[in-house]
Amino acid sequence: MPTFDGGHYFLTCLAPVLTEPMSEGGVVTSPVHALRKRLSMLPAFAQPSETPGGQSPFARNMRNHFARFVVIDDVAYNGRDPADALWTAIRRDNLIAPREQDHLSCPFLLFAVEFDAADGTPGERDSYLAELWRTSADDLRAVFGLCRDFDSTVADEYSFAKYVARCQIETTMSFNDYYPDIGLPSLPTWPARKYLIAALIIGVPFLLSAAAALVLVIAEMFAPPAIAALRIATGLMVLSGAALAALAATAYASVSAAGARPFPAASESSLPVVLKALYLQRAFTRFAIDSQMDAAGGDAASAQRLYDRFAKFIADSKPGDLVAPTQAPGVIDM
Amino acid sequence: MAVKLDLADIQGNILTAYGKLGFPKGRFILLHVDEAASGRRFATAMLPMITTALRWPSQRSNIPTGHTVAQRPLVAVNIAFSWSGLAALGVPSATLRGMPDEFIDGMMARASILGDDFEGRDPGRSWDDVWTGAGDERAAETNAVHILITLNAQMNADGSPSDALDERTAAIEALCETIGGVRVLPGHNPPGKALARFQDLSAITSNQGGTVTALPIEHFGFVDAIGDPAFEGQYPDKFERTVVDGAGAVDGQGVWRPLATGEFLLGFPDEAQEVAGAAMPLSFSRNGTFMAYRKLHQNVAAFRAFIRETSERFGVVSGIENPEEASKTLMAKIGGRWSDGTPLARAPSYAAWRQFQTQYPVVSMEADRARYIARSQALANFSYGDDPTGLKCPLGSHLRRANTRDGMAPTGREGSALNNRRRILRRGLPYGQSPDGVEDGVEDADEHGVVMLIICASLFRQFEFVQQQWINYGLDARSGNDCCPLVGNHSSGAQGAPKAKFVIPSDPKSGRPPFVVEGIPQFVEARGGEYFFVPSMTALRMIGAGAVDPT
Repeated sequence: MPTFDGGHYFLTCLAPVLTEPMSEGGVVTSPVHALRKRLSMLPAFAQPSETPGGQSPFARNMRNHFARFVVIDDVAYNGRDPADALWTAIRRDNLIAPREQDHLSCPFLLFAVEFDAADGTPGERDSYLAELWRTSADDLRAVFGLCRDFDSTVADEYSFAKYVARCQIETTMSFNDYYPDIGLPSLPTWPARKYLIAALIIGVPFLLSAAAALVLVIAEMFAPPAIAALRIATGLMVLSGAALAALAATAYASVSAAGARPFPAASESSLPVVLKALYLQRAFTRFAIDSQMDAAGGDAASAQRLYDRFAKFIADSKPGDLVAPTQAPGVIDM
Repeated sequence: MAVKLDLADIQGNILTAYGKLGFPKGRFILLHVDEAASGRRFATAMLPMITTALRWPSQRSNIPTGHTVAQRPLVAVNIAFSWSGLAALGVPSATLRGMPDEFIDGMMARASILGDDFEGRDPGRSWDDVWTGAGDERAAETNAVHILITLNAQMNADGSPSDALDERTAAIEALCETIGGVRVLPGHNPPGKALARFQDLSAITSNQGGTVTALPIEHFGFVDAIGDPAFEGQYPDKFERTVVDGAGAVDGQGVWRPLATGEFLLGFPDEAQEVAGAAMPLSFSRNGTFMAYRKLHQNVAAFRAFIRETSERFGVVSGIENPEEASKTLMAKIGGRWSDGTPLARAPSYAAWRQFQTQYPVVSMEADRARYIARSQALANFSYGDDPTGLKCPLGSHLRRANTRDGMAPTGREGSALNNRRRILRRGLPYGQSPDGVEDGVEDADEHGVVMLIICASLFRQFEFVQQQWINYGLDARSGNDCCPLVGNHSSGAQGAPKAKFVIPSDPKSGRPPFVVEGIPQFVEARGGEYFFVPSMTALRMIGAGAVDPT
């Protein structure tokens, strides 16, 4: 599962958090403490009755599906690696001696977002980040301002995109809520069978030549050496062994390449379409409830009323219009 | 080697529902412990009175009993403790902190999870006095519910409970008196009403020519207590086979087996093949389990009026002309069973129901054992595999939410795998009366409902999950935010929220639209409750002796 998958960009970045105590609100405090406080005050979602100002910064654009901030203080590592008891005994490891622990040099802010993108190019990423900056610069400054080098390097949308890009790491496991509606058999598969046959074709001569070489070496102890035969067997073993290794390397590269290939984009999985679908679901439910008596009526008059109501439902809800009316992003509408 | 339960160590209410076994009368008593030592003496004194799971000689069930026979009592007595009750009895901290979070919290603290906070209503103000400690204005802690004693009694021919019920009650009160430091908590009544000392219960009865018989129905008119799960060790081998179909777990091929014992008793492997951790020592937890006590008030008048009014429109939309047929069908679509218990899954239409009744007539076990068993099996044994869209039994109906059977199998071949860890045993009895056919005689303010006792090994994983995710939410029933039309927390549309609704799907081939009913009133309201630990006889002895040793 790569960074770009199924028509969505899964951006993961780790920004180093400042460690020098700072003054906030007249109190000298740890930057991690201040960061957690600021994150806790970011609005996560908005009820419809609330003012637009109370909305999540990630709801101010029409591309963002999910966003998550996590503060990572340190790794939990006590210095002890699990080891086989027999092996440690053979190696005569001193289990009483303390082992070296390892820690992160500083806390990190994990920033993970999923947004609509045409492809996985840096341009698509940067255009999203630029829009995020244009709509929520103050919120982003409050959060990322507690990360190393942010205030000194970020001044506008371009430098913000550049900063995030510097912190980006590869997304290896993405969670996409909108995969294309394809059955399991049509999922892209790796040609395991082809590699298995190739492995057999090369592997059998390898095993045979290896066995022959072994027999000849043992036979040498009891009889005059068959130098020529041993040479042929060894040569064949080395050659087929090399071919086997090459095959394994090719297979590995091929599996990795197959894994990196993104799923095709699911149709109609962009945020505006999803929001419109949610809106239509509600609007249609309303229409269905209000019209059920007419729908059940067998006479021409109720059929006409149903027809008129449906025409009004279509005219009011505009199913083909993604812009309006629709559900606002980031709003949990009970 | 199959599971063999030590029946004499397990309390009888876990394995069987007394109501169905000829104990249609009940009295539930709540007590508070003021002094740990007195409380322990009380527990020890209760020990010989407790009805265990030993099988009584019975003509009805033909279940073999064994050599040493326990006589069938006139009153079955069982005991259970709340978490604060165990603390009040001096059970050690190391045991107490090994208890599950939800049990420590208690039911009132879980109100928002259980959907008991109807539109912001505070259970602390709306529950019966006994749960809120409001009876005499003392602080709630000094009146906290510590011990529950349940009495289930046989019934006299005139419909009154056996005299032994009052005798047993008097004996328990005398015990409190002599020992001191333990007292009965009154207040099984709504706030502001006269204090009721006990929760009296009774099956709904019918009186025919002076002969009173107990009916297995609840106040809305549904036959109740049919689909209880069956688990390993609960029944002897031969008997098990007659009850397991429809009551256990089903595989993808329609073959049923009993559920794992650990789903209902602590200390046994459960459906995940784990022996789940429990409070230490193991001898304290093993053969015990947890029980949720829920006093559920039923708004009978509101329900009857709703069915009357809605069935008119339902009849028009679904093309059912006969009003009686429309109202019976609407009730069945809400409940998932026809009023006599016939599952919609087996009889999806009114005509099919009538045919089912002819095929499986109601007979008593004494009169015709074979036909009785045939009917019981027909009522229990069904699945939803052939009804994925709920044309027969709506996905949002009460029955299909509470026990999803094979209905959630992702590919249709997994059987009840997603349901097996969410099963609950239901015990309990109705309270109050709600005479049928007397429209004006029943008011929602009257005291009538059911005290439901829910038994499972994990209240969190089983009871609370079913209540929160399946009863009060609709995702798994593919019904959006819709909740159970019968017992769910129905939004009245306050503060701009959508009103509670329920969808009855219609076969597109019929050309008729689905029926959507919007604005369902609140039919069932929690009036009190608590989570209890139901100890084994061993644990009860240890509690009484102050000998719970978790080290």
